Amino acid sequence: MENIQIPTTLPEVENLIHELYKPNSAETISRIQDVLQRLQKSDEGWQLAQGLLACSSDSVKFFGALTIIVKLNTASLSDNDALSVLQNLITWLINSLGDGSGPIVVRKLCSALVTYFIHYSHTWDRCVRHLLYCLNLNTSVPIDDIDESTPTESFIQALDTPKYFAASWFCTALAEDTEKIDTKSTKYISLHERLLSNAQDVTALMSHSFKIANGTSSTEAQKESIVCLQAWVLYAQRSPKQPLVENLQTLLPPAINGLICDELYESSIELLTDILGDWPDFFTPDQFNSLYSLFESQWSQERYQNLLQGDSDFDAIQFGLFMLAFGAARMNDMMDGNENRAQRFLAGLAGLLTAQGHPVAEDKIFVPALEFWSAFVEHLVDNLYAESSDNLPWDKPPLSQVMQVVSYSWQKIQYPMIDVYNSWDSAERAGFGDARKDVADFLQSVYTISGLPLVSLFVDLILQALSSSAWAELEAASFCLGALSDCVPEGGSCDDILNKVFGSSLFALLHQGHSVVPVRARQTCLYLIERYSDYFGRHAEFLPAALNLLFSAVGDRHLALPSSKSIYTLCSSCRGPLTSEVDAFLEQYSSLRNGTELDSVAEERVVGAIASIIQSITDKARKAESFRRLLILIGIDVDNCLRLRSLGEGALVDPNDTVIHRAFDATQRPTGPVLANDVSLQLAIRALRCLCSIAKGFQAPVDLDSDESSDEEPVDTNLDQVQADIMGILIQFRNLFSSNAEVVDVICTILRAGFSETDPGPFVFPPQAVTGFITGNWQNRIATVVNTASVFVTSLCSGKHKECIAPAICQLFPWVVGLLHQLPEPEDEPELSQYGIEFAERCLAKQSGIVMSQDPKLLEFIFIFAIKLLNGTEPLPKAAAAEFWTTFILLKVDDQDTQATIDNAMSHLGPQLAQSLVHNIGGKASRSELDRLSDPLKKLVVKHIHSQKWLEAALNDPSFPSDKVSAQEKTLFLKKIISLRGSRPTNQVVREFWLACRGSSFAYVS
Amino acid sequence: MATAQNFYELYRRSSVGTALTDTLDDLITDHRIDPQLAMKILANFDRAIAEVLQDKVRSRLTFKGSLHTYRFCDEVWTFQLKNVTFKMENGGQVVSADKVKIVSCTAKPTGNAA
Repeated sequence: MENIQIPTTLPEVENLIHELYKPNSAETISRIQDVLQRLQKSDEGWQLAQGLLACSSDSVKFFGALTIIVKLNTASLSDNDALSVLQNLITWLINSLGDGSGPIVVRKLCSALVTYFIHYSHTWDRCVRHLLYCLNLNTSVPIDDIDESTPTESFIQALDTPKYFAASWFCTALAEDTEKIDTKSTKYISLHERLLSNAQDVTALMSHSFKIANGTSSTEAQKESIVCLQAWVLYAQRSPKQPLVENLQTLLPPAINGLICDELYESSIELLTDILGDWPDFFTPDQFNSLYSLFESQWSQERYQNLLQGDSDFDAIQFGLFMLAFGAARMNDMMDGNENRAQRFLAGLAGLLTAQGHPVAEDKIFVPALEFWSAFVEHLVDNLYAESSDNLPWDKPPLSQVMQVVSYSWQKIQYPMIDVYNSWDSAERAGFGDARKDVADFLQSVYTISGLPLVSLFVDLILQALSSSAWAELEAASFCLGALSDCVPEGGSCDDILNKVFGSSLFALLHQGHSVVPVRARQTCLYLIERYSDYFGRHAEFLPAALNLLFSAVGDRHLALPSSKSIYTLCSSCRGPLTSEVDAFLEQYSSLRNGTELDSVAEERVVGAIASIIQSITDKARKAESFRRLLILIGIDVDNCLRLRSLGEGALVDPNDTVIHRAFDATQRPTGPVLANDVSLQLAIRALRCLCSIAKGFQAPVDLDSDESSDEEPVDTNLDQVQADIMGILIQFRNLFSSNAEVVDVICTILRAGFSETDPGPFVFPPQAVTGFITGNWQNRIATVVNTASVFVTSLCSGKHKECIAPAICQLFPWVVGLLHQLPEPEDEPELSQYGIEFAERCLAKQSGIVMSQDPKLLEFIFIFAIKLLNGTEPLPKAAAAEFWTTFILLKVDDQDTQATIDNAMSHLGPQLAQSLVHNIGGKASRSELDRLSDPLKKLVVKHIHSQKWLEAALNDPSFPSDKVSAQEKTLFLKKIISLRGSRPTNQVVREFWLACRGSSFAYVS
Repeated sequence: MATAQNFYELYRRSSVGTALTDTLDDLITDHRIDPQLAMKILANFDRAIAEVLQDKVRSRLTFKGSLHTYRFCDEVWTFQLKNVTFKMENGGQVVSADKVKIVSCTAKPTGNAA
C-alpha cells in the first residue's frame, strides 16, 4: 500500500477501516490514519459517520462513533443542529443495542453522548433521565417530551440488561470525562453544575443493581455499578458538593457487602481501599463500624490467615492493603489504648509482618505493612511530644504492639541461605535491601519514643546470637544496631551498653575468617564498627583490636571495601589516640601492598587513614619520618610508572608481571600482554589517587580551633624537600600524562587539598610554585585547571600569604585570558569560558586594583568576552558572565586612578551591557536565567546615572528581539525598573516583561 | 483508581523543574508542542516527582545546624537554618552551607488526611 487514494465511496472507506484494524506495518497504519482523519475532519464527516454507523461490522460502526466524537470536538453547531445530532446518537445507540452490535460499539456511542454533553450540556441538562426515558421507550424522543410525572426509578426498573449496561457505561464515562474538565474554568462552571443535577438519577441507577435479584446478570450489573461508583467518587472528591456526596455515600453499604461475593470482591476491595486511602472522610461513622465488624467476621479471619500463610495471590495482597488502608484511615482509634476493637485490629496489622516468606521476594505485604507502622510511630511521636515520655506503658497497647513490630521486623530482614538468595532476580535482591533500609528507618522512629532500651535490645540480641553462633541473627541484629548509631546521644551515655558488644568475643570471632563467620555477617559487623566510630574515639582501649581486625580484612576482596571504609572513618575521627600505632599501620600497609588482592579504592582509604594519623603527630621529626615512609611506598609505583614509560612505544608487559597487580584491580586484570604505556598510565593514576587521599588525610580536622595554628612556624627545611619531591612527581605526571582527563582531575584535587590549609604541610605548596605549576603545559581538561586557579586565588586572599596575591594574579590573569583568546568563539568550550570568566570575577572581587592595572588589551578582551557570553545561549557561561558584570558594576576602590579606570570602562561598556541585558530580558534568555540576569540589571540601575538612558536606547533599538510589546509597554517597564531602585520586586517585573515579549503561549506556568 | 489528589508545584523550581520548563519553552518556540500540552506535562511532572521522591529515592542524609527561624502557616512549615553541615549516607561527603531554608508541606492535601 504505497500510495493511498482518498476513498470516494462508503465501501472504499469501509475497506480502509478494515485495513486499519488488520495487522499492518506502523508506516501503513499511519498513512491509513492520515487519510481517515482527513475524511473525519472534512465537511462530509457527519454524513460519513451516519453511513458507517449503518454498516454491519463492529469496527466500522466503532469508527463511525469515533467520527462523531471528532466532529463534536472540532465543529461548532447551532443548538438546533446539536439537538438533531443528539437525537441521531440516541437512535444509533438504541439500534446498536437491538442489532447485536458488540460492547465496543455501544461503549463508543456512550462516549460520543458524553462528548455531546460536555460541549452542549445547556441543551441536555437532565441527560441521564432523558437517556433512560428514551431507552425505556426504545426510541429517541425530544427532550421536552419526557414524562415528568414518572419517577426515574420506574424507567430503570423497566430496562432490560443490555440497556441497563449501556446506561451504566454512559454514567461512568460521564463522570470520568467531566472529571478531566477544569472545575475552575469559567467556561465549564455550568457544565459541572448540570452534571450535579444528574447525580440523583445516577444514584438511582446504581442502587437499582444492588436491589435486583440474584443471578449472573445481576452480579455483572453490580460490578458495573461499582465501577461507576468509583468514577463518581473520584469526581466528587475533586469538588466535594454535599448533595452529591450524600447520594454516593448511600451506595457504600452495598459495595461493602460486595466484598463477600467472589465475583464482586476485586472491584469492591479496590474501590474501598482507594477511598480509604485518598478520601477517608467520605465514610460515615456507621460505615466505619460496618468495616470494623467485617474485619472481625469469619470471612475476614480466613482471608487474613491465608495471607499469613504465604498466599501471595493478587486477592490476598489486596486484602492486606485493604486492612492497612483502614488502619491508616482510623489512625487515631489505633493510638487509643482504651479502644479495644481498634487494638484488636492493630494487633492484626502487626501480625501482617509475620507473613511467610522473605520480604519482597515472597512476602509482598511486608513493605506496605512496615510503611503503615512507620506512619503510625510518627503519629505516636507527634502525640507524645507534648507529654512526658517517662514511664510510658510499653507493656500495654499500642506501645506493646510497636515493640512486637520491632521484634517481627528484625527477624524478617535476616538474610536467607545463600542458595535461596542467589535464586532471586536483581529486582528481588534490591527490593529486599530496600526493605532492610525501611526497617532501619522504622527503628530510628521508634528510638524517638523508646530511647536507649531499643539499643539494649539489639545489643542483647547480638550477644545471644554470638553465644549460639546464629550468624543470620547476628547479622540482622548488628544491622539494626548500626541503624541506631545516628540516634544515640553524643556524650557517651550509652557507652556502657555498647561496651557489652565491643568488649565481647565479637572481634576475636570475626578474626577467625569465613570458615567461622559467614561473609555477610562479617561485612555487617565491620560496618557496625564504622557506624560507632565516635564510641571508639571515647574508648581507645578497643581501637587497636578493632583496627587490627579491619586491617586483616582489607586483603579479602569480599571485605576490602567495608573494612577500608571503617579504617578510614576510625583513623580519621580518632587520629589523636592512634599516633602510637602509626608504625604498625605502616607495616600493615606495606605487607598489604605485597599481596595481589589489594583493591585500589581500599588502598586509597588505607593510605588516607594513615595520613590522617600522621597529621596529628605532634613530634615533628617523627611526623616527617612517618610521612617519608608513606611517601616511599607510593614512590615505588611512581618509579615503576616512569620506568615503563621509558620503554617507549610498543613495549609490552607480561600479564604475570607483579607490576600488573598494582596497575589493575583483580576484576580488570588482563590475561594477555599489555602495552607498557598503558600500564604506566594506570600506575600513574593509582599513585596520584593515593597521593590525593594522603593529601586529604593531611588536612586538619574541620573542628580544629584556628587559634591553635601557629603564625610563626619556623621554616622546616625537611618540609621544603618533601614538598619539592611531591611537586616533582606532579610535574612529571603532568608532562607525561596530562592528556588523560583523570590524571588532570586528580592532580587538581591534590593541589586544592593544600589550598584550604592554614598551617604548613607537605601539600601546602609555596604560592609561586603553585602558580608556576598551573601555568605549565597541559594537554587536556584545561577548564579544570582554570577552575583550580580560581580556588587558588580565593585561598590566597583568605590565607596568610597576602603578599603573594598580586604576583599570582599578574601571572595567572594573562594566562587565563590567553587561553580564552585561543577559542575561535566564546561558546566553543563552555566549561573553559565559564571557569575563565569566573576566575576574572574572583580576581575583580578580591583584588580589583591589580586586575585593573593589567594590560588594557587584556582587560578589553575580557570585558568583550563577558558581553559575548551574556549574548550567547550557553546557560552556565551566561550565568558566570552575569555574576561578573554584577561584581564589576559594584566595584568601588579607594585608589582614585583605579576608580577612574573603572568608571571609564563602565561608561564605554554600559550601553553594550544594557543592550545585552535588555535583549535577554526581552525574550532571548531562557526562563530559568531571568533571576540571574536581574542581578546586574538591579545593580546597574542603582549604581549608574546613565543607566536609564542606556536601557531606553536598548529597548527602542531595532534589534530588540520581540515585536509583541508596544513602545508604551517598554516605557512602563523601564519606569518600573528605575523606580524600584534595584529592590527585589525587580525580578518579578523582569519576569512579567519577558513573558509579554515572548507572548501568551509562554504563560502556561505560574 | 486514578486519584484526584492535587500535587504541589514547588518542585518546578528545582533544577530539574526549571530545566524541564526551559525545554518546554524551546519546544513551544519551535512550534513542536502547544502550551496546553506543556501545561499537562508540567502537571505530570508535579505528580511524577512527588511519587518518585516518595517511592523510589532510597538515599538519605543527616544534617545539623542552628535553627534561626521557624514558622507554620497554611499547613506549611518553614525552617531557616544557619551553619548547616550535611552528612551523606554511608559516610560519604560532608557538605556545608551558611544558610538553608527548608519548606515542608503536608504529604496529602488539606482535608484528605485521616
